[in-house]
Amino acid sequence: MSEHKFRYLLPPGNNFNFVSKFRPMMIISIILMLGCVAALFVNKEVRGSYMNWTIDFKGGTEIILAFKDKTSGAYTRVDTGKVREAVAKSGEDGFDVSDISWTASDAAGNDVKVEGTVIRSPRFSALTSADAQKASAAFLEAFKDRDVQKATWSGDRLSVRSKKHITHAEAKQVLAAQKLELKDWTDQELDQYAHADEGTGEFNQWYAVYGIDRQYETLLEQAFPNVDVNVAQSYGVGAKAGSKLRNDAVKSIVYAIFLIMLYLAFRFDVRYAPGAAFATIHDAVMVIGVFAVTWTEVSLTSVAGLLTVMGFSVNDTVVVFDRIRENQSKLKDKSLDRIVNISLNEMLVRSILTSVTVFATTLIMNIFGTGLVQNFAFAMNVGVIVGVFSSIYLAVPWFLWISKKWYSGPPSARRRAAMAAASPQAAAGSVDAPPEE
Amino acid sequence: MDRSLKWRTIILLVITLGCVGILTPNFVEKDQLPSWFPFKDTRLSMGLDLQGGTHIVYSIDLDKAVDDRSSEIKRDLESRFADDATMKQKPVVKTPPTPIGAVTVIMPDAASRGAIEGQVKSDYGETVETRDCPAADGPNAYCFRVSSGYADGIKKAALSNAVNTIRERIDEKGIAEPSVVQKGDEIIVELPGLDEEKKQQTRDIIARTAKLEFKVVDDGSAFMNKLYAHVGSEGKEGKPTEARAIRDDIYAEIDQWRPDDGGTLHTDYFLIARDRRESLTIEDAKKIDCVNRAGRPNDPDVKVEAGRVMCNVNGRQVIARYLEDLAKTDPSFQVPDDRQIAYELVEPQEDATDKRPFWRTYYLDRAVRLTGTSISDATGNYDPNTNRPIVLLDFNRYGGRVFGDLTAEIAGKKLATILDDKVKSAPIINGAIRGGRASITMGGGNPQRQEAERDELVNVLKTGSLPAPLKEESVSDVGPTLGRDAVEKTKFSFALGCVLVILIMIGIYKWSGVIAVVMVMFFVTITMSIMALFGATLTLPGIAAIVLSVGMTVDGNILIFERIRDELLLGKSVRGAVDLGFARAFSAILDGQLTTAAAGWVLLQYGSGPIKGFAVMLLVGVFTTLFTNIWISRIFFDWYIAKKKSQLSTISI
Repeated sequence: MSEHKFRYLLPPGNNFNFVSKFRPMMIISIILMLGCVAALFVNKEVRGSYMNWTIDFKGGTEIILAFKDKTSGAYTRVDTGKVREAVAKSGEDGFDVSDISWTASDAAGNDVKVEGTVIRSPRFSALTSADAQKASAAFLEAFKDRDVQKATWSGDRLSVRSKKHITHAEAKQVLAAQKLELKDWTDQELDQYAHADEGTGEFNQWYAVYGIDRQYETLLEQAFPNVDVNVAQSYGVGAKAGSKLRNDAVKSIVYAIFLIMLYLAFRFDVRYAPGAAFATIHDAVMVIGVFAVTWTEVSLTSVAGLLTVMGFSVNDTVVVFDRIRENQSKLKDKSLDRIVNISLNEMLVRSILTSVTVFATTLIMNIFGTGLVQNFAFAMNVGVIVGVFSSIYLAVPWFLWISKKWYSGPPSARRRAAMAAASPQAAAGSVDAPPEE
Repeated sequence: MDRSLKWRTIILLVITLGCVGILTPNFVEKDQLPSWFPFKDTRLSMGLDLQGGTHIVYSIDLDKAVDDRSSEIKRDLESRFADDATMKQKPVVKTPPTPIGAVTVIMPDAASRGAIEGQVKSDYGETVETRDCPAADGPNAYCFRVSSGYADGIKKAALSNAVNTIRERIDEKGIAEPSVVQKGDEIIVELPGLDEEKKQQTRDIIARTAKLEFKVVDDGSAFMNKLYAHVGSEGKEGKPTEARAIRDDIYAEIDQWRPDDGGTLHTDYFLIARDRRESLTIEDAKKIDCVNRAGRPNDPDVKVEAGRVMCNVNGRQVIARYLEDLAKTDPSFQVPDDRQIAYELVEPQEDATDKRPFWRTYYLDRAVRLTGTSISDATGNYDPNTNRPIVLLDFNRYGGRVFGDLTAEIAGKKLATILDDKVKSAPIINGAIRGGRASITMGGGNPQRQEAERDELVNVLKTGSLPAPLKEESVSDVGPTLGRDAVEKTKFSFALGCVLVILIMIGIYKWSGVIAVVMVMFFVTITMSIMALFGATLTLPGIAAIVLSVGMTVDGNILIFERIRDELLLGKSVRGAVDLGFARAFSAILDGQLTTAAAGWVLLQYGSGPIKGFAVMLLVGVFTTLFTNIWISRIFFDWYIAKKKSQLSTISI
């Protein structure tokens, strides 16, 4: 045997007593899971939403910027990475930066390609809701005589319906008193707002103020002193992931867990199924909880991360179960507790090694990646840790407990098994008693 | 080297060569590849998040949705009045074009006004509001419109409905993870970098309103009779006699038929015209979309000369222009409010002398009798008699009943099927059609194009109509959502991560660790090749699935290696330990992968968007993981053992 020179992660013959810690571990993780769920509600109370949804889920504002060289006046390009850095420095999170190009006419009427930047921000408005309310109240007050039916904010735009016309100049004055600068109307808007709706005789007008777009403009002009930043377009957008996607996601995950249970019930036996489902749900809940507690942005990529974590957890659990199944037929003379403990010890090196490789890779993605990739990597980092833990300390105990309760034959044997669980050393005898660490 | 190993090595070489071949177009330009090269189009396409794509802004005419509501109210009221036996003279219900959502009821006498007004108010309540009647409607008119508050609600619902419909249509087309978002009153669609043809097809399908309507053809009307006489028809060729009609090449024609069960002879008058090339002023050219808003021709080959431009005016526009000008000079040629002129593009029969397609008019009762919302399903098929592609429409229960009643009522007349303001067909109805089915026959012409058009029609009818027409406002190219800089950083971090895995694996398993690393390389190559071969699109969620699969491939290797170590420690020979190691690890790997496959299959069935992208890659990954771990990895071990023959007492593991 001496001719085999293996490099070991752990010295061979490790014999940790996992089974004795099943109960406390289970209690700790149930408490943690409840904590995760509670964190969601705490967030809802304190921060206003369950999780830090990004623009993918709740919509936000898209601002398209064009850059001009200050000296030559020609369109120029600014690296998206630098824009991202500048925006991140201002303390904003959950935004995406990407490049966009389109064709525009220059002063001479020639087509030029503009290489701009699009910033997608989860914010809808630069105004706080209190400011917005104050401004619309002031607006209603100032134009009492115009029979204003409605004045509501939509992002940085005030939508007004009134019986009588309110000119741009009048509105500008009122909004300026609220420290809001009204944008000029286009010729089309000027023309449209001058006439009342034919049927109702009402005026429907939009007053857009400089808000989020202006903030980015100043921010970037400060960051790039040689560049003239122009807002080409700025508009509120709806969520990319509609309710259909959300329902599909929840439905498919629930069905997937059921199918996994069904598969395990067939290939292994029924005792294995609930543990695997519990462990998988635990990992999902923990990842969601960590995202909620750390207030990390949740994007569509985080959903992919969550699915990856669940996939990883299931695979890990199944491999551990496989060893237990094998040892059950190989070590018929040993108690189930012993079999489980031996199996877990045998699988320990593999579990650690696999997790370490995946963890290391995703940790590097977390450190060096940006935005969406970092987000995915973070989910994986959390998921790998809880995944290994849950396979050993959550999936297996379910199997063990179900086996003892329903599968351990006559009542006398069950009583013996119960005693064994209480003190493993006494029941298992001296030969293969696990030494306490 | 035994025979089986030799064969396995050859197969592995062939597979490797195939993969390299499939992936070559990603690194070498298409025209630089030799002509015999079998894989030319197997480029890996990347999604919006990794590569960017086309960003299209659509505006939607939401007022149309409000007008639809007023048409609905009109239909409601008309059927109510028709059912009311106490009413001797029925009131006339009209939907004037302005203001938006307007309805006008003209009573036969002043006495019934109060009752009808009360009824409208109690039926529609807050959703309508009274408006002032124009003097032309007379003293007995009652005018109202869809209230502005309710109209806002309709618009909002219409917009989100449109976003969902577009999403479904793109999904049906199988395009990986597009982005469809609402922007104010507009809709932004982002499509990943598809090839031009597919992109155009997708744009066509997105913008199809797919508004299906059934209307009754009003044959034998005095109006059309008069128009027929005005245009004139001379001799056998039916040449027009009126000067303007001669200039524009507009013909007046007659269609006569007697229903199958006998009955009266029906006579329908209609006009036909063909497409023409004309020199138009910029102003006129703008009207028919021949030049854009800036006055530049849409066709880059056409030049503006002396304020005029050559345009292709289609037959429909020719007739519409003719009728418009005619109504201006003679008000009696104004089409009545409750009638409309609709057009059909006719492709002549094979045996016709003039094979050019032409447009013909239909004089229709404006009332919409049935719409596409009454359809429960649409399927593509072929007409058993003519073998032309057709779309079969299944009505829902309500639609089937209405269609049956309608066909019974109008027996002998023609019923026009109108899709997106174009008459698709107008067959003669010989009697009640019950059973809840109807069909739309595709035109003649190129059968392949007709088939493609049919499939498109099935898609849009299935996903439902858009509440209002869409218009492309602007098109731009967007970079990757992830950001170009982030893609670079991700590549770097991914590479660094791989180095770390290599170090760990080789550090612990030495030479066998090298095999594990080679396995990961095989895994990535084969996975990418499968994707390129099937034209799948790589997106971030897809990469997430690949990361998961790579993790499981490494896991599989670790399982095998640990087993081999166990067997070696039990004193087995190297060959025996490798055999047993693979055999024992097999069940764990298989069960792990099959559970993953089961989950992936469910995600593919029920998920959408990124979840689907994840699932596809996961399923490909399961296959590749099993293949590399169980089959390829074994070949490498067998080589290793075969080289050292039997004097091997241990291996580097």
